[in-house]
Amino acid sequence: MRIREMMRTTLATVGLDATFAELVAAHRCHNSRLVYVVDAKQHLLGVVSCYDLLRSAMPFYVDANLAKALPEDDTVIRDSFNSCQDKTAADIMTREITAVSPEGTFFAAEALFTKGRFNVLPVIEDDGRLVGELTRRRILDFLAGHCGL
Amino acid sequence: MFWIATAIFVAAYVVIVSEKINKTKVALFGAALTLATKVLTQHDAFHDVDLGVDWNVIFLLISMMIMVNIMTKTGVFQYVAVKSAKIGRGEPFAIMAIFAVVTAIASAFLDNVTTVLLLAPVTLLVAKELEIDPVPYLITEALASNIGGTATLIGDPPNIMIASKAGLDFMDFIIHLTPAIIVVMAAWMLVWKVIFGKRLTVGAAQKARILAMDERVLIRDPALLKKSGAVLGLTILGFTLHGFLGFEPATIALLGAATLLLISGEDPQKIFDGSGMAHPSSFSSAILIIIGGTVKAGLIEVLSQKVIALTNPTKDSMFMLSMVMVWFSGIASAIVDNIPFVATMNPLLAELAEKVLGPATGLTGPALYTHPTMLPVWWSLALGACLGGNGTAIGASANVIVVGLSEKAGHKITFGRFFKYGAPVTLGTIAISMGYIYLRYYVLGW
Repeated sequence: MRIREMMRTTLATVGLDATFAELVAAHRCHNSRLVYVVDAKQHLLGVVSCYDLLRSAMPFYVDANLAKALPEDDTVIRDSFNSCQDKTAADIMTREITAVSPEGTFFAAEALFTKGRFNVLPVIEDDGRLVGELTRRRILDFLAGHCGL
Repeated sequence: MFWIATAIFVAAYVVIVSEKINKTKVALFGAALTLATKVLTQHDAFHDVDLGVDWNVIFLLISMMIMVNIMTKTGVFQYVAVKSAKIGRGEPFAIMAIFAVVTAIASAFLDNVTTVLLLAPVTLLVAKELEIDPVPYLITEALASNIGGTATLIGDPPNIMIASKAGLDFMDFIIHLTPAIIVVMAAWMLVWKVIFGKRLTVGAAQKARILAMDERVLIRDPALLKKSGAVLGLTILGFTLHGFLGFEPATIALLGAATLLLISGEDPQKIFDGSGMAHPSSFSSAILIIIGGTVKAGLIEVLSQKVIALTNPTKDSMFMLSMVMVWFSGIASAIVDNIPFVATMNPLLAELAEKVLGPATGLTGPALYTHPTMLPVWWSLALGACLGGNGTAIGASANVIVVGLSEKAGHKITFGRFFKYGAPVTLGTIAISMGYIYLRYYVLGW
Protein backbone atom coordinates (compact mmCIF):
# COMPACT_ATOMS: atom_id res chain seq x y z
CA MET A 1 0.00 0.00 0.00
CA ARG A 2 1.92 2.95 -1.37
CA ILE A 3 1.18 6.61 -0.81
CA ARG A 4 0.56 6.99 -4.56
CA GLU A 5 -2.60 4.87 -4.12
CA MET A 6 -4.12 7.04 -1.41
CA MET A 7 -2.91 10.58 -2.11
CA ARG A 8 -5.11 13.36 -3.43
CA THR A 9 -4.02 14.84 -6.75
CA THR A 10 -6.36 17.82 -7.09
CA LEU A 11 -4.38 20.57 -5.42
CA ALA A 12 -4.45 24.33 -5.00
CA THR A 13 -1.24 25.59 -6.60
CA VAL A 14 0.02 29.12 -7.17
CA GLY A 15 3.22 30.79 -8.36
CA LEU A 16 5.72 32.71 -6.26
CA ASP A 17 4.16 36.03 -7.25
CA ALA A 18 0.61 35.13 -6.15
CA THR A 19 -0.84 38.02 -4.16
CA PHE A 20 -2.21 37.86 -0.63
CA ALA A 21 -5.76 38.13 -2.02
CA GLU A 22 -5.11 35.26 -4.46
CA LEU A 23 -3.77 33.10 -1.64
CA VAL A 24 -6.84 33.81 0.48
CA ALA A 25 -9.09 33.03 -2.50
CA ALA A 26 -7.20 29.77 -3.18
CA HIS A 27 -7.78 28.69 0.40
CA ARG A 28 -11.45 29.58 0.31
CA CYS A 29 -12.08 27.85 -3.02
CA HIS A 30 -10.24 24.59 -2.39
CA ASN A 31 -11.06 22.10 0.30
CA SER A 32 -7.42 21.88 1.33
CA ARG A 33 -5.34 22.83 4.34
CA LEU A 34 -2.47 24.00 2.15
CA VAL A 35 -1.91 26.08 -0.93
CA TYR A 36 1.21 24.87 -2.76
CA VAL A 37 3.70 27.34 -4.24
CA VAL A 38 5.34 25.83 -7.31
CA ASP A 39 7.49 26.91 -10.26
CA ALA A 40 6.61 26.45 -13.94
CA LYS A 41 7.71 22.79 -13.83
CA GLN A 42 5.63 22.05 -10.73
CA HIS A 43 8.67 21.89 -8.43
CA LEU A 44 7.49 22.57 -4.88
CA LEU A 45 8.95 25.82 -3.48
CA GLY A 46 6.85 26.29 -0.37
CA VAL A 47 3.44 25.95 1.21
CA VAL A 48 0.97 28.50 2.54
CA SER A 49 -1.39 27.47 5.33
CA CYS A 50 -4.24 29.47 6.86
CA TYR A 51 -1.91 29.92 9.83
CA ASP A 52 0.73 31.51 7.55
CA LEU A 53 -1.86 33.93 6.15
CA LEU A 54 -3.22 34.93 9.54
CA ARG A 55 0.27 35.20 11.05
CA SER A 56 1.32 37.66 8.37
CA ALA A 57 -1.91 39.62 8.71
CA MET A 58 -2.24 39.84 12.48
CA PRO A 59 0.10 41.93 14.66
CA PHE A 60 2.38 39.34 16.34
CA TYR A 61 2.74 41.45 19.46
CA VAL A 62 -0.94 41.21 20.41
CA ASP A 63 -1.18 38.08 22.54
CA ALA A 64 -4.39 36.57 23.85
CA ASN A 65 -4.27 38.67 27.01
CA LEU A 66 -3.46 41.98 25.36
CA ALA A 67 -6.19 41.39 22.76
CA LYS A 68 -8.74 41.60 25.59
CA ALA A 69 -7.89 45.27 26.12
CA LEU A 70 -8.52 46.27 22.51
CA PRO A 71 -11.56 48.47 21.92
CA GLU A 72 -14.48 47.30 19.80
CA ASP A 73 -13.11 49.52 17.06
CA ASP A 74 -11.34 47.06 14.75
CA THR A 75 -9.15 49.62 12.96
CA VAL A 76 -5.92 47.91 14.00
CA ILE A 77 -7.02 44.55 12.65
CA ARG A 78 -8.36 45.99 9.40
CA ASP A 79 -5.20 48.05 8.89
CA SER A 80 -3.02 45.01 9.55
CA PHE A 81 -5.01 42.88 7.13
CA ASN A 82 -5.02 45.59 4.46
CA SER A 83 -1.28 46.14 4.86
CA CYS A 84 -0.79 42.57 3.63
CA GLN A 85 -2.13 43.38 0.17
CA ASP A 86 1.39 43.98 -1.13
CA LYS A 87 2.71 40.67 0.16
CA THR A 88 3.20 37.74 -2.20
CA ALA A 89 3.44 33.99 -1.75
CA ALA A 90 7.23 34.38 -1.66
CA ASP A 91 6.93 36.60 1.44
CA ILE A 92 4.41 34.47 3.27
CA MET A 93 5.12 30.83 2.44
CA THR A 94 6.84 28.31 4.69
CA ARG A 95 9.96 27.15 2.89
CA GLU A 96 11.07 24.35 5.18
CA ILE A 97 8.78 21.56 4.09
CA THR A 98 8.47 17.97 5.22
CA ALA A 99 7.28 15.90 2.28
CA VAL A 100 6.83 12.24 1.40
CA SER A 101 7.55 10.25 -1.74
CA PRO A 102 4.68 8.66 -3.71
CA GLU A 103 6.53 5.36 -3.36
CA GLY A 104 6.64 5.62 0.44
CA THR A 105 4.37 3.58 2.68
CA PHE A 106 1.55 4.97 4.76
CA PHE A 107 3.38 3.67 7.86
CA ALA A 108 6.22 6.08 7.12
CA ALA A 109 3.72 8.89 6.46
CA GLU A 110 1.86 8.17 9.69
CA ALA A 111 5.15 8.32 11.64
CA LEU A 112 5.83 11.75 10.10
CA PHE A 113 2.31 12.95 10.93
CA THR A 114 2.83 11.97 14.55
CA LYS A 115 6.39 13.25 14.90
CA GLY A 116 5.77 16.61 13.26
CA ARG A 117 2.17 17.05 14.42
CA PHE A 118 1.19 17.56 10.78
CA ASN A 119 -2.28 17.05 9.36
CA VAL A 120 -1.24 17.12 5.73
CA LEU A 121 1.94 16.24 3.85
CA PRO A 122 2.85 17.17 0.28
CA VAL A 123 3.84 14.27 -1.94
CA ILE A 124 6.79 14.97 -4.23
CA GLU A 125 8.79 12.97 -6.75
CA ASP A 126 12.55 12.56 -6.33
CA ASP A 127 13.14 15.58 -8.59
CA GLY A 128 10.99 17.80 -6.33
CA ARG A 129 7.87 17.86 -8.54
CA LEU A 130 4.62 18.10 -6.60
CA VAL A 131 2.28 15.20 -7.42
CA GLY A 132 -0.21 15.11 -4.58
CA GLU A 133 -0.96 15.53 -0.90
CA LEU A 134 -1.68 13.04 1.82
CA THR A 135 -3.92 13.56 4.83
CA ARG A 136 -4.77 11.24 7.72
CA ARG A 137 -8.33 11.28 6.44
CA ARG A 138 -7.16 9.89 3.06
CA ILE A 139 -5.25 7.12 4.83
CA LEU A 140 -8.27 6.26 6.95
CA ASP A 141 -10.62 6.29 3.93
CA PHE A 142 -8.23 4.10 1.97
CA LEU A 143 -7.78 1.58 4.78
CA ALA A 144 -11.51 1.47 5.51
CA GLY A 145 -12.25 0.74 1.85
CA HIS A 146 -9.43 -1.80 1.71
CA CYS A 147 -10.77 -3.68 4.72
CA GLY A 148 -14.37 -3.46 3.60
CA LEU A 149 -15.58 -1.27 6.47
CA MET B 1 50.89 31.05 32.76
CA PHE B 2 50.86 34.83 32.25
CA TRP B 3 50.81 34.57 28.48
CA ILE B 4 48.34 31.68 28.40
CA ALA B 5 45.89 33.58 30.60
CA THR B 6 46.42 36.75 28.56
CA ALA B 7 45.89 34.89 25.28
CA ILE B 8 42.64 33.29 26.49
CA PHE B 9 41.41 36.64 27.82
CA VAL B 10 42.24 38.60 24.65
CA ALA B 11 40.92 35.88 22.31
CA ALA B 12 37.64 35.63 24.24
CA TYR B 13 37.19 39.42 24.16
CA VAL B 14 37.93 39.64 20.44
CA VAL B 15 35.52 36.85 19.52
CA ILE B 16 32.77 38.20 21.81
CA VAL B 17 33.10 41.70 20.29
CA SER B 18 33.08 40.26 16.76
CA GLU B 19 29.73 38.55 17.54
CA LYS B 20 30.68 35.74 15.15
CA ILE B 21 29.97 33.11 17.81
CA ASN B 22 27.38 33.21 20.61
CA LYS B 23 29.03 34.95 23.57
CA THR B 24 28.06 32.25 26.08
CA LYS B 25 29.73 29.58 23.96
CA VAL B 26 32.90 31.70 23.75
CA ALA B 27 32.94 32.42 27.48
CA LEU B 28 32.34 28.78 28.45
CA PHE B 29 35.09 27.59 26.10
CA GLY B 30 37.46 30.25 27.48
CA ALA B 31 36.63 29.16 31.03
CA ALA B 32 37.21 25.51 30.13
CA LEU B 33 40.58 26.40 28.59
CA THR B 34 41.52 28.40 31.71
CA LEU B 35 40.97 25.25 33.77
CA ALA B 36 42.41 22.78 31.23
CA THR B 37 45.65 24.78 30.94
CA LYS B 38 45.85 24.88 34.76
CA VAL B 39 45.94 28.68 34.85
CA LEU B 40 43.29 28.18 37.55
CA THR B 41 42.53 25.04 39.52
CA GLN B 42 38.93 23.92 39.71
CA HIS B 43 39.03 24.82 43.39
CA ASP B 44 40.05 28.40 42.45
CA ALA B 45 37.25 28.61 39.88
CA PHE B 46 34.43 27.33 42.04
CA HIS B 47 35.46 28.12 45.60
CA ASP B 48 37.61 31.27 45.55
CA VAL B 49 35.45 34.38 45.24
CA ASP B 50 38.44 36.50 44.13
CA LEU B 51 39.46 34.16 41.32
CA GLY B 52 36.35 32.33 40.18
CA VAL B 53 32.57 32.31 40.17
CA ASP B 54 30.90 34.85 42.43
CA TRP B 55 27.90 32.88 43.64
CA ASN B 56 26.42 36.02 45.16
CA VAL B 57 26.09 37.44 41.64
CA ILE B 58 24.80 34.21 40.11
CA PHE B 59 22.14 33.50 42.74
CA LEU B 60 21.00 37.12 42.76
CA LEU B 61 20.54 37.00 38.97
CA ILE B 62 18.72 33.66 39.06
CA SER B 63 16.48 34.59 41.99
CA MET B 64 15.37 37.89 40.46
CA MET B 65 14.59 36.15 37.18
CA ILE B 66 12.44 33.57 38.98
CA MET B 67 10.40 36.33 40.65
CA VAL B 68 9.99 38.35 37.44
CA ASN B 69 9.02 35.25 35.48
CA ILE B 70 6.26 34.40 37.93
CA MET B 71 5.07 38.01 38.03
CA THR B 72 4.88 38.12 34.23
CA LYS B 73 2.13 35.51 34.36
CA THR B 74 -0.16 37.93 36.22
CA GLY B 75 -0.49 40.36 33.28
CA VAL B 76 0.48 43.27 35.53
CA PHE B 77 3.08 44.63 33.13
CA GLN B 78 0.55 44.88 30.28
CA TYR B 79 -1.87 46.50 32.72
CA VAL B 80 0.70 49.12 33.74
CA ALA B 81 1.65 49.84 30.13
CA VAL B 82 -1.93 50.30 28.90
CA LYS B 83 -2.81 52.32 32.01
CA SER B 84 0.22 54.53 31.34
CA ALA B 85 -0.91 55.17 27.77
CA LYS B 86 -4.34 56.16 29.08
CA ILE B 87 -2.83 58.43 31.73
CA GLY B 88 -1.07 60.13 28.82
CA ARG B 89 -4.59 60.82 27.40
CA GLY B 90 -3.41 59.56 24.00
CA GLU B 91 -0.94 62.45 23.65
CA PRO B 92 2.06 60.98 21.80
CA PHE B 93 4.83 62.76 23.71
CA ALA B 94 3.13 62.31 27.08
CA ILE B 95 2.92 58.58 26.36
CA MET B 96 6.57 58.48 25.30
CA ALA B 97 7.67 60.22 28.51
CA ILE B 98 5.45 58.07 30.75
CA PHE B 99 6.65 54.88 29.05
CA ALA B 100 10.25 56.02 29.54
CA VAL B 101 9.72 56.67 33.25
CA VAL B 102 7.79 53.41 33.76
CA THR B 103 10.52 51.48 31.92
CA ALA B 104 13.25 53.15 33.96
CA ILE B 105 11.53 52.43 37.29
CA ALA B 106 10.77 48.82 36.31
CA SER B 107 14.34 48.32 35.12
CA ALA B 108 15.69 49.63 38.41
CA PHE B 109 14.22 46.55 40.08
CA LEU B 110 13.85 44.02 37.27
CA ASP B 111 16.01 42.66 34.52
CA ASN B 112 16.31 45.21 31.65
CA VAL B 113 15.65 42.68 28.91
CA THR B 114 12.53 41.39 30.64
CA THR B 115 11.26 44.93 31.07
CA VAL B 116 11.53 45.84 27.39
CA LEU B 117 10.22 42.43 26.32
CA LEU B 118 7.11 43.09 28.40
CA LEU B 119 6.58 46.71 27.41
CA ALA B 120 7.54 46.64 23.72
CA PRO B 121 4.46 44.69 22.53
CA VAL B 122 2.14 47.20 24.21
CA THR B 123 4.21 50.03 22.74
CA LEU B 124 3.84 48.58 19.24
CA LEU B 125 0.09 48.26 19.76
CA VAL B 126 -0.25 51.81 21.10
CA ALA B 127 1.77 53.18 18.16
CA LYS B 128 -0.44 51.22 15.78
CA GLU B 129 -3.58 52.64 17.39
CA LEU B 130 -2.11 56.15 17.22
CA GLU B 131 -0.94 55.53 13.62
CA ILE B 132 2.57 56.76 14.37
CA ASP B 133 6.09 55.37 13.91
CA PRO B 134 6.89 53.10 16.90
CA VAL B 135 10.67 53.34 16.43
CA PRO B 136 11.30 56.49 18.54
CA TYR B 137 9.20 54.90 21.32
CA LEU B 138 11.02 51.58 21.22
CA ILE B 139 14.48 53.15 21.18
CA THR B 140 13.43 55.47 24.03
CA GLU B 141 12.38 52.41 26.06
CA ALA B 142 15.67 50.62 25.47
CA LEU B 143 17.58 53.75 26.51
CA ALA B 144 15.32 54.21 29.56
CA SER B 145 15.79 50.61 30.64
CA ASN B 146 19.58 50.97 30.60
CA ILE B 147 19.40 54.31 32.43
CA GLY B 148 16.90 53.04 35.02
CA GLY B 149 18.88 49.86 35.58
CA THR B 150 21.83 51.98 36.69
CA ALA B 151 19.94 53.34 39.68
CA THR B 152 20.03 50.33 42.00
CA LEU B 153 22.18 47.38 43.04
CA ILE B 154 19.79 44.92 41.39
CA GLY B 155 19.02 46.97 38.27
CA ASP B 156 21.86 45.78 36.05
CA PRO B 157 24.35 42.89 36.34
CA PRO B 158 27.41 45.25 36.42
CA ASN B 159 26.02 46.85 39.59
CA ILE B 160 25.49 43.43 41.17
CA MET B 161 29.09 42.53 40.33
CA ILE B 162 30.47 45.84 41.63
CA ALA B 163 28.45 45.56 44.84
CA SER B 164 29.64 42.03 45.46
CA LYS B 165 33.29 42.83 44.79
CA ALA B 166 33.43 46.10 46.74
CA GLY B 167 31.09 45.07 49.56
CA LEU B 168 28.54 47.79 48.77
CA ASP B 169 24.94 47.36 49.85
CA PHE B 170 21.58 48.20 48.30
CA MET B 171 21.24 51.50 50.18
CA ASP B 172 24.71 52.61 49.05
CA PHE B 173 23.43 52.47 45.48
CA ILE B 174 20.17 54.24 46.41
CA ILE B 175 22.07 57.03 48.16
CA HIS B 176 24.83 57.45 45.59
CA LEU B 177 23.49 56.39 42.19
CA THR B 178 19.73 56.96 42.30
CA PRO B 179 20.06 60.77 42.59
CA ALA B 180 22.39 60.77 39.59
CA ILE B 181 19.87 58.78 37.56
CA ILE B 182 16.99 61.08 38.57
CA VAL B 183 19.00 64.04 37.28
CA VAL B 184 19.94 62.15 34.11
CA MET B 185 16.32 61.13 33.43
CA ALA B 186 14.98 64.65 34.02
CA ALA B 187 17.58 66.23 31.71
CA TRP B 188 17.02 63.59 29.03
CA MET B 189 13.24 64.00 29.07
CA LEU B 190 13.61 67.78 28.76
CA VAL B 191 15.76 67.33 25.67
CA TRP B 192 13.31 64.75 24.30
CA LYS B 193 10.46 67.20 24.87
CA VAL B 194 12.26 69.78 22.71
CA ILE B 195 12.94 67.20 19.99
CA PHE B 196 9.68 65.24 19.95
CA GLY B 197 7.17 67.53 21.72
CA LYS B 198 5.86 69.17 18.55
CA ARG B 199 6.91 66.55 16.05
CA LEU B 200 4.56 63.86 17.40
CA THR B 201 0.94 64.73 16.75
CA VAL B 202 -2.18 62.64 16.25
CA GLY B 203 -5.87 63.31 15.69
CA ALA B 204 -8.75 63.03 18.14
CA ALA B 205 -9.91 59.69 16.68
CA GLN B 206 -6.54 58.09 17.38
CA LYS B 207 -6.47 59.43 20.93
CA ALA B 208 -9.99 58.09 21.46
CA ARG B 209 -8.82 54.59 20.51
CA ILE B 210 -6.22 54.65 23.30
CA LEU B 211 -8.76 55.88 25.82
CA ALA B 212 -11.16 53.13 24.75
CA MET B 213 -8.70 50.38 25.70
CA ASP B 214 -9.66 48.48 28.84
CA GLU B 215 -6.65 47.81 31.02
CA ARG B 216 -8.65 46.17 33.83
CA VAL B 217 -9.18 42.95 31.89
CA LEU B 218 -5.41 42.48 31.55
CA ILE B 219 -4.86 41.17 35.08
CA ARG B 220 -4.96 37.44 34.41
CA ASP B 221 -4.44 36.14 37.92
CA PRO B 222 -5.30 38.61 40.74
CA ALA B 223 -4.42 36.08 43.47
CA LEU B 224 -0.97 35.47 41.99
CA LEU B 225 -0.52 39.22 41.58
CA LYS B 226 -1.18 39.76 45.28
CA LYS B 227 1.26 37.03 46.25
CA SER B 228 4.02 38.07 43.86
CA GLY B 229 3.52 41.77 44.62
CA ALA B 230 3.80 41.09 48.35
CA VAL B 231 6.90 38.92 47.96
CA LEU B 232 8.60 41.37 45.59
CA GLY B 233 7.77 44.24 47.96
CA LEU B 234 9.18 42.36 50.95
CA THR B 235 12.24 41.39 48.93
CA ILE B 236 12.92 45.02 48.03
CA LEU B 237 12.41 45.93 51.69
CA GLY B 238 14.87 43.14 52.52
CA PHE B 239 17.36 44.65 50.07
CA THR B 240 17.12 48.03 51.77
CA LEU B 241 17.87 46.36 55.12
CA HIS B 242 20.33 43.66 54.04
CA GLY B 243 23.37 45.60 55.19
CA PHE B 244 21.74 46.21 58.58
CA LEU B 245 20.56 42.59 58.84
CA GLY B 246 23.95 41.22 57.85
CA PHE B 247 22.75 39.27 54.80
CA GLU B 248 24.20 39.26 51.32
CA PRO B 249 21.73 40.48 48.61
CA ALA B 250 21.66 36.97 47.11
CA THR B 251 20.30 35.59 50.39
CA ILE B 252 17.43 38.09 50.35
CA ALA B 253 16.69 37.40 46.67
CA LEU B 254 16.84 33.64 47.10
CA LEU B 255 14.50 33.84 50.08
CA GLY B 256 12.03 35.85 47.97
CA ALA B 257 12.29 33.59 44.92
CA ALA B 258 11.98 30.37 46.93
CA THR B 259 9.00 31.74 48.89
CA LEU B 260 7.22 32.84 45.73
CA LEU B 261 7.86 29.49 44.02
CA LEU B 262 6.44 27.76 47.07
CA ILE B 263 3.28 29.85 47.49
CA SER B 264 2.53 30.54 43.82
CA GLY B 265 1.86 26.91 42.91
CA GLU B 266 3.77 27.48 39.68
CA ASP B 267 5.66 24.57 38.11
CA PRO B 268 9.39 25.27 38.70
CA GLN B 269 10.27 23.46 35.47
CA LYS B 270 8.18 25.93 33.44
CA ILE B 271 9.59 28.88 35.35
CA PHE B 272 13.19 27.74 34.80
CA ASP B 273 12.54 26.93 31.14
CA GLY B 274 10.86 30.25 30.46
CA SER B 275 13.20 32.49 32.43
CA GLY B 276 16.22 32.26 30.15
CA MET B 277 18.31 32.31 33.31
CA ALA B 278 20.77 29.66 32.12
CA HIS B 279 22.26 32.01 29.54
CA PRO B 280 23.21 35.07 31.66
CA SER B 281 24.29 33.03 34.68
CA SER B 282 26.46 30.70 32.56
CA PHE B 283 27.96 33.66 30.73
CA SER B 284 28.73 35.58 33.94
CA SER B 285 30.23 32.51 35.63
CA ALA B 286 32.45 31.70 32.66
CA ILE B 287 33.65 35.28 32.28
CA LEU B 288 34.54 35.43 35.98
CA ILE B 289 36.67 32.28 35.58
CA ILE B 290 38.54 33.75 32.58
CA ILE B 291 39.16 37.01 34.47
CA GLY B 292 40.19 34.98 37.54
CA GLY B 293 42.89 33.41 35.39
CA THR B 294 44.27 36.82 34.48
CA VAL B 295 44.23 37.86 38.15
CA LYS B 296 46.16 34.79 39.24
CA ALA B 297 48.61 35.05 36.35
CA GLY B 298 49.40 38.69 37.16
CA LEU B 299 47.92 40.47 34.11
CA ILE B 300 45.51 42.53 36.22
CA GLU B 301 48.38 43.61 38.48
CA VAL B 302 50.33 44.85 35.46
CA LEU B 303 47.28 46.71 34.15
CA SER B 304 46.59 48.30 37.54
CA GLN B 305 50.17 49.60 37.68
CA LYS B 306 49.63 51.18 34.27
CA VAL B 307 46.37 52.81 35.42
CA ILE B 308 48.15 54.14 38.53
CA ALA B 309 50.93 55.59 36.38
CA LEU B 310 48.38 57.17 34.03
CA THR B 311 45.95 58.70 36.54
CA ASN B 312 48.22 59.18 39.55
CA PRO B 313 45.73 58.31 42.32
CA THR B 314 46.71 59.12 45.90
CA LYS B 315 45.37 58.02 49.26
CA ASP B 316 43.54 61.37 49.51
CA SER B 317 42.05 61.72 46.05
CA MET B 318 41.37 59.64 43.00
CA PHE B 319 39.83 62.51 41.07
CA MET B 320 41.54 61.89 37.74
CA LEU B 321 40.87 58.14 37.97
CA SER B 322 37.15 58.79 38.61
CA MET B 323 36.84 61.16 35.68
CA VAL B 324 38.70 58.82 33.35
CA MET B 325 36.69 55.85 34.63
CA VAL B 326 33.28 57.38 33.75
CA TRP B 327 34.29 58.00 30.13
CA PHE B 328 36.44 54.92 29.66
CA SER B 329 33.68 52.65 31.03
CA GLY B 330 31.05 54.43 28.97
CA ILE B 331 32.91 54.15 25.67
CA ALA B 332 34.07 50.59 26.35
CA SER B 333 30.54 49.46 27.29
CA ALA B 334 29.12 50.84 24.06
CA ILE B 335 31.40 48.42 22.22
CA VAL B 336 31.96 45.52 24.63
CA ASP B 337 29.35 43.72 26.74
CA ASN B 338 29.43 45.46 30.11
CA ILE B 339 29.55 42.18 32.09
CA PRO B 340 33.05 41.13 30.92
CA PHE B 341 34.14 44.75 31.09
CA VAL B 342 33.13 45.12 34.75
CA ALA B 343 34.47 41.64 35.50
CA THR B 344 37.85 42.94 34.29
CA MET B 345 37.68 46.31 36.03
CA ASN B 346 36.61 44.91 39.42
CA PRO B 347 39.86 43.07 40.25
CA LEU B 348 41.84 45.87 38.62
CA LEU B 349 40.32 48.47 40.94
CA ALA B 350 40.65 46.13 43.92
CA GLU B 351 44.36 45.70 43.10
CA LEU B 352 44.71 49.45 42.69
CA ALA B 353 43.04 50.10 46.06
CA GLU B 354 45.41 47.67 47.73
CA LYS B 355 48.44 49.36 46.20
CA VAL B 356 47.45 53.00 46.71
CA LEU B 357 45.31 52.90 49.86
CA GLY B 358 46.32 49.64 51.53
CA PRO B 359 49.69 50.65 53.00
CA ALA B 360 48.43 54.09 54.11
CA THR B 361 45.20 52.95 55.76
CA GLY B 362 46.10 49.45 56.91
CA LEU B 363 42.71 48.28 55.65
CA THR B 364 41.98 45.20 53.58
CA GLY B 365 38.99 43.69 51.73
CA PRO B 366 35.61 45.49 51.64
CA ALA B 367 36.70 47.99 54.32
CA LEU B 368 39.49 49.08 51.98
CA TYR B 369 37.37 49.00 48.82
CA THR B 370 34.65 51.17 50.38
CA HIS B 371 37.11 53.73 51.74
CA PRO B 372 35.74 57.26 50.97
CA THR B 373 38.62 57.89 48.57
CA MET B 374 37.76 54.78 46.60
CA LEU B 375 33.95 55.09 46.52
CA PRO B 376 33.67 57.67 43.68
CA VAL B 377 35.71 55.34 41.47
CA TRP B 378 33.20 52.49 41.93
CA TRP B 379 30.30 54.86 41.20
CA SER B 380 32.11 56.13 38.10
CA LEU B 381 32.56 52.56 36.92
CA ALA B 382 28.88 51.74 37.54
CA LEU B 383 27.59 54.88 35.80
CA GLY B 384 29.88 54.52 32.82
CA ALA B 385 29.40 50.77 32.36
CA CYS B 386 25.59 50.89 32.59
CA LEU B 387 24.97 54.12 30.65
CA GLY B 388 27.55 53.33 27.98
CA GLY B 389 25.38 50.46 26.78
CA ASN B 390 23.06 53.03 25.19
CA GLY B 391 25.66 54.08 22.63
CA THR B 392 24.98 51.50 19.96
CA ALA B 393 22.33 49.00 18.89
CA ILE B 394 24.52 46.20 20.25
CA GLY B 395 25.70 48.01 23.40
CA ALA B 396 23.13 46.35 25.66
CA SER B 397 20.84 43.34 25.47
CA ALA B 398 17.74 45.56 25.76
CA ASN B 399 18.82 47.42 22.60
CA VAL B 400 19.23 44.17 20.68
CA ILE B 401 15.77 43.07 21.81
CA VAL B 402 13.93 46.23 20.67
CA VAL B 403 15.78 46.25 17.35
CA GLY B 404 14.67 42.64 16.78
CA LEU B 405 11.05 43.25 17.83
CA SER B 406 10.80 46.38 15.74
CA GLU B 407 12.09 44.62 12.64
CA LYS B 408 9.67 41.75 13.21
CA ALA B 409 6.86 44.31 13.32
CA GLY B 410 7.99 45.73 9.97
CA HIS B 411 9.93 48.74 11.29
CA LYS B 412 13.61 48.09 10.69
CA ILE B 413 15.98 49.98 12.99
CA THR B 414 19.34 50.29 11.27
CA PHE B 415 22.57 50.53 13.26
CA GLY B 416 22.80 54.16 12.11
CA ARG B 417 19.30 55.08 13.21
CA PHE B 418 19.84 53.66 16.69
CA PHE B 419 23.19 55.42 16.88
CA LYS B 420 21.49 58.74 16.00
CA TYR B 421 19.39 58.40 19.17
CA GLY B 422 21.77 56.43 21.38
CA ALA B 423 25.08 58.20 20.89
CA PRO B 424 23.93 61.72 21.90
CA VAL B 425 22.02 60.28 24.86
CA THR B 426 25.10 58.33 25.95
CA LEU B 427 27.39 61.33 25.63
CA GLY B 428 24.90 63.57 27.44
CA THR B 429 24.18 61.14 30.27
CA ILE B 430 27.87 60.36 30.81
CA ALA B 431 28.69 64.08 30.80
CA ILE B 432 25.99 64.63 33.45
CA SER B 433 27.37 61.67 35.43
CA MET B 434 30.86 63.13 35.30
CA GLY B 435 29.49 66.46 36.52
CA TYR B 436 27.62 64.65 39.29
CA ILE B 437 30.73 62.77 40.45
CA TYR B 438 32.83 65.93 40.30
CA LEU B 439 30.33 68.10 42.17
CA ARG B 440 29.20 65.58 44.78
CA TYR B 441 32.53 63.98 45.73
CA TYR B 442 35.20 66.48 44.77
CA VAL B 443 33.50 69.87 45.33
CA LEU B 444 30.76 69.32 47.90
CA GLY B 445 32.43 66.29 49.51
CA TRP B 446 29.16 64.44 50.21
